[in-house]
Amino acid sequence: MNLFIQLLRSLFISMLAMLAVILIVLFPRQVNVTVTETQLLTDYPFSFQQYAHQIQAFFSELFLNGSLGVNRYQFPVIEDVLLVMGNSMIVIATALVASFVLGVLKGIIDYKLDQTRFRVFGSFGTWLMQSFPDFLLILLLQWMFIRYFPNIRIFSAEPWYAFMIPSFFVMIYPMLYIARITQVSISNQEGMLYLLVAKSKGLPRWLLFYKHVFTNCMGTILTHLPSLMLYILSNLLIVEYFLNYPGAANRLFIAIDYSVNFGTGGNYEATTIIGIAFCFCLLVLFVQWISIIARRRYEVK
Amino acid sequence: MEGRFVKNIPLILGAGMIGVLIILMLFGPYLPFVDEQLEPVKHRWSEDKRLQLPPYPPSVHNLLGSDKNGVDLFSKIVMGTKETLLIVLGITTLRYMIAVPLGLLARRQKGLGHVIVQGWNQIFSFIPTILAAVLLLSIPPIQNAEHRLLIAIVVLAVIEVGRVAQVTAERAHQVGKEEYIEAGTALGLSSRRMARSYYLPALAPEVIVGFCIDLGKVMLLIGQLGILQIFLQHVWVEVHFFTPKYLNTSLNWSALLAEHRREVLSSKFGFIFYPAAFIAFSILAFNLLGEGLRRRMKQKYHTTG
Repeated sequence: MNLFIQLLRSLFISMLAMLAVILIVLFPRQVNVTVTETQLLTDYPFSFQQYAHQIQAFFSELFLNGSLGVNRYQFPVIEDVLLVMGNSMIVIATALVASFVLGVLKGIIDYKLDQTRFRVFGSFGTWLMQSFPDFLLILLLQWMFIRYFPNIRIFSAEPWYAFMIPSFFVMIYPMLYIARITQVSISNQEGMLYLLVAKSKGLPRWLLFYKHVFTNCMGTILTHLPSLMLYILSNLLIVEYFLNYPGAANRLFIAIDYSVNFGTGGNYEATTIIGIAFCFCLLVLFVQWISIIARRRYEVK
Repeated sequence: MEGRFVKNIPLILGAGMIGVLIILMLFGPYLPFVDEQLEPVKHRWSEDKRLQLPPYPPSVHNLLGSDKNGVDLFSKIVMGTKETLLIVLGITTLRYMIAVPLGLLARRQKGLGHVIVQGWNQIFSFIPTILAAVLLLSIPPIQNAEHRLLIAIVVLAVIEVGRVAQVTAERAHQVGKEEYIEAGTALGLSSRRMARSYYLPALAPEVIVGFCIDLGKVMLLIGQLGILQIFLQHVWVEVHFFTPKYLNTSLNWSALLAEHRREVLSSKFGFIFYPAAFIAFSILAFNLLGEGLRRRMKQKYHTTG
């Protein structure tokens, strides 16, 4: 398929998906609470008119005024979204680069280790670590920090290293994922005929590995880049929530305003959710495009 | 045959761990050190005649200690096993029942089925799964539904249908390039017959392995929901003057996690650790089983073909 059409198609599907997200988010969810003399009653009046009105109001605000309105603090939504996205971008970018680089390295090491008697630390170790739930790991580390290293400020966004702790937590799982992909695709190259030819021509082992095996694997690994991004985005919430980091995923959860008293509280911020989802959407689309372009480059070789 | 089977350590370990879970689920309530009624023990006299108040530390009476009402933690976890596993199994089964046929529909990588699968997958990739779950589960009609648990199971299943369908479709597309499939097409078999007798048997091993791994993923998702204090089953009651609250009515592990989440901040780790550890144990069990089955099927494939 033409590269341009491929890129355009992924853009089109993203736009459809974004529209669906908007429709889900704008679904009316305000509950009327009335207090009588003796008790508290709630009532949920749903009407399609209200739904249509909300959608119309959203789009007219967006297209006529070019804004998303104000949030619960009477602060422009777009500025707020950009602020929290900025905080999260450092974490996302650090985690993306670090998990990719370290993951590929770990994959290569796993592949080498699998041929020695330290097999347990190789791909099996990676796999085992991948099976542990992220929140258990975070809970353990959090407890350890609180109990034994109280002077490391894990809950504060102020110190310069504030973005490193969430990046580290977010990175672990995607890194293991890439390590596994790398290790599997390297072992799939084993015994390929072109490798035998190159070997018979007297190419040294390391050159053989980096010039042929690794370049071929890169294509496969790069196709998994969008999944890597998704893993990072979905880890982000639990990590930001646990560490109280002022990032986008945490803000998204606050905007949903889940309350244990009324379900959805009075401060549900639909436009903030849409704004942050839009930024995530752009990120995913961007990574998808990189992946499509890169795949093409490596396939031609 | 025997020798090969022994080598498959993940399969044996996984099956063993699942076995432990199933025994806990079926016979757990009848074990001697499990208090089936979950009765709170408000106070207790220690051996040297001193008054003890809950939470009790781990001892002979309470294997893992008790919560602040004096209810035995181990019993709580054991009594919740059945519910937790059934919820996880329900969500995953429903997800695969929708996703696999949908994936087969989209196997040609074009047409309506393809757009549906792609779109579905993309929608829920812009909002992290856990946030999509929160967003959907808190819609008032679902929040206050009479059969909330059932609806919650459907919602959690549907969120990731797109991903599973996408994987199935991609795999089916690859299988479609094989010669015997082309032979079937050349015979002029109906599309339905092709899907059932040609594609499905070829995809079955991967679907089964994927299913096991998804069991682990669902378990993780439910655990995360628990951390965010979102229950799959709750009642809305007045807990104080004019202060209603959603109270958890279930014993599943994620609900236990939710109850004790805040206690980490005061360095009381025990209560939250046990449900989390049990969740980790079962995720590990599901993953080991999946990996073991994958190896087993790979071996089978290599010996017969």
